[in-house]
Amino acid sequence: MSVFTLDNVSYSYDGTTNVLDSLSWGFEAGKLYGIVGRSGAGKTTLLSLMAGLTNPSAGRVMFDGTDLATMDRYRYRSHDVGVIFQSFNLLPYLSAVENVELSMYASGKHIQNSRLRAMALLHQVGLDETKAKRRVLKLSGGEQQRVAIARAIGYDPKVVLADEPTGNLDLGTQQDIIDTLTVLAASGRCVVVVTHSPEVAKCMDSVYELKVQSVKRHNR
Amino acid sequence: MFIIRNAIKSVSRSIGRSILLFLIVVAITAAAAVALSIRSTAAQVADDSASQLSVTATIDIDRQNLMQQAQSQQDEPVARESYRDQFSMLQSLPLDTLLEYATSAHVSEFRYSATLSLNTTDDIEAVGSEETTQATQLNESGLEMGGVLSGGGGGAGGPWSFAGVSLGDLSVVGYASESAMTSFVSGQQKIISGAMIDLTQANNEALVSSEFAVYNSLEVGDSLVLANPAATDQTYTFTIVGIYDAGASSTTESLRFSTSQDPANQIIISYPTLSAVEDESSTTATTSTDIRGQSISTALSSTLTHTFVFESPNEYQEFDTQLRAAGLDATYALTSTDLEAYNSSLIPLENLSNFAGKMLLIVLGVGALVFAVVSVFNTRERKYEIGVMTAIGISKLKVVLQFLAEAATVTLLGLLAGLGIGMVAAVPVAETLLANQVSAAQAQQTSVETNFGRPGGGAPMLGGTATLPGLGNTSAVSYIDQINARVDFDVAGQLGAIGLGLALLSSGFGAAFVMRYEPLNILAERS
Ligand SMILES: Nc1ncnc2c1ncn2[C@@H]1O[C@H](COP(=O)(O)OP(=O)(O)O)[C@@H](O)[C@H]1O
Ligand SMILES: [Mg+2]
Repeated sequence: MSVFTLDNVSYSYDGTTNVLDSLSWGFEAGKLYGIVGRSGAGKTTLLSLMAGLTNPSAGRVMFDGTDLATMDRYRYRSHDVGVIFQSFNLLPYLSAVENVELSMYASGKHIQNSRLRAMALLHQVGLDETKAKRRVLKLSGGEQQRVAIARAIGYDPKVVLADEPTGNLDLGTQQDIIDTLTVLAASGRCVVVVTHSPEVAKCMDSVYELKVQSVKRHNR
Repeated sequence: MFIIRNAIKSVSRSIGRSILLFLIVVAITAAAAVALSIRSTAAQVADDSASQLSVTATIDIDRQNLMQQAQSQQDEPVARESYRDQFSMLQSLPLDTLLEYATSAHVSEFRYSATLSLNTTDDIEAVGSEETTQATQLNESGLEMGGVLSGGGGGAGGPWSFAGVSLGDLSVVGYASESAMTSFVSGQQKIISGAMIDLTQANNEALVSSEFAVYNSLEVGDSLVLANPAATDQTYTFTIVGIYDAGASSTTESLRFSTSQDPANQIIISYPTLSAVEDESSTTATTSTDIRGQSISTALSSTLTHTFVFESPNEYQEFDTQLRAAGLDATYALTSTDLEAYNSSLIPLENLSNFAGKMLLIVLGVGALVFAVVSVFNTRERKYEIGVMTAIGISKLKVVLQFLAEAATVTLLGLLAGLGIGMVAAVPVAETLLANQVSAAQAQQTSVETNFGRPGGGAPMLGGTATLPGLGNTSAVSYIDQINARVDFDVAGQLGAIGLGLALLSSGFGAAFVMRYEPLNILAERS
């Protein structure tokens, strides 16, 4: 059964031009999905819709058979979905490990030994203890990206949405991240990865491609 | 709850922002604490002094009311004659009536004295008598000179008559109590040799001024023979038991029309003695008719001076109401000069309090403005935090709660520091204010005993304890303590309210921002 079903989803920022145009896709649990497309094709916009940050202009985004627009989207975001934002979106006054812990608390899942678990996760994505305890502002872009990944999976959400999660990482680390996401999918999660890297796309179970809308292309 | 922990982390790690807000709160509360405690102290000093103020008053003919009545009865301007006639018919209230009023529970004390005008005899002379015996004849219509004064007998040395009363060259004052001797109570006059007379006895004891004594080579123990100015064959003999320093004279000599006006020519006796002299003169009095056809008696007639004392302005008001209820008509009015003086003496205190009030308003106004500006600048940064927190599913309510907790923490710390600084600065100010009040009252109290020729302190209180209630040393000390406690309590309470206001103000700004934005918009704006 599909975790996500896109039912003729369209999205427009300005009300005249559609960034997304009548998408009808399905996403299943236990699989690793890739979404590819040129810059400006609407990949981040699509993830925002699936993350429950906004509602489609037309059509429905169904999660576990329920229209997202009708759900408590705060609970959905904190509890059911983990998002790795393209621009990380970490809280600057917190350390790496505190950022990870915060989303655990926010999920309301009463995770035991949250600090240890957060540390282990950060270690898994390649951050040692000193870096884990550092304020995120003092971490490099690549390191912040790893914190964002750890934060998105820390409370074990059903769905993980990753927006170019390997964009700032070297090849070795890139593989580590892909392995982590593969393990997540294998454990029954639905993992959606936005990428423009062919190597990453190759590792996916299934790949959707977004075309830049013609009007848009004309503009660029 | 993780929101509170997050709030504390946010406060402690965004230290620059926190310190800025903290300092603003400290400045506002410190200034507000000073202003508030000055206001509260001023209010209490006013309260306390009102409750401690003993009001003195007299019941007199209400001339203003009379004039107004006369004017309202006829349209034309009041004829001088009719006013004079109306006025001359009126008499001051007799002592009996006043004594009856004085039994009221609102009256804490009733003091009175009476003044007689007597002449010197033999080789005794009034101080400065040369000048006045050569005084010019006063014109008959004397009104322009400010009094109903007429040269009754004419010629130098003849008896002057004032409104039908013959004027001698000495004033003889009979006091009913020591407290009525206000110049002695205030220290303007004091006994310098001999002893105080017994005011309860009609024993013909007298006090004379040192000037008068030196002028006439009189000493304690000497006799003083004085005569009725209207019938010089009637004489009265007094024994000088004390000599007093009359102090500086208040009226300049050129303004006196009689030597009896000179404080140096004042003979002090007891009221019973004066009363006996008056009685004696009326038994031997003869009556004659003057040029205007009015009958004139040679009997001595004293002028009564009285004072009602009240423990507070409140008692005064109630007595006034009581008097009217008892049927005292509008011809008479209870008036108090020291209540008026007290009301104007409060003006500096009120001014200080008003100034503190304005300062408080400015401080709060400017403080709120600065606070708001800083909050607006903060929200640019905070907006991103709001976006992140709501994006990972933390509800807006919790975000507002976190901001509230942050504001509360900073405000509370700032409040405590501000209160501490404010107290250090405000209490000395309030205490100085108060100490001045208390020491002034204390100085007055200690000098009273010595003015009566008794050692200061330890001596039993005068008959007039009610004049200066509760301003002894011990009560003054507890008085200051009491004020301190009140300042602490009031000011802390009011500052708490101010702090709450500041916290609400700042988190209100936060809340407004939190509610307005959707996470996607905020995050999109950032990247
Ligand atoms: N908040 C926004 N308001 C208006 N237009 C936007 C906004 N975010 C993205 N867009 C536009 O929508 C299109 C798709 O953007 P995006 O989803 O970020 O593309 P991608 O992630 O594939 O690079 C782009 O043309 C972009 O300029
Ligand atoms: Mg993108």
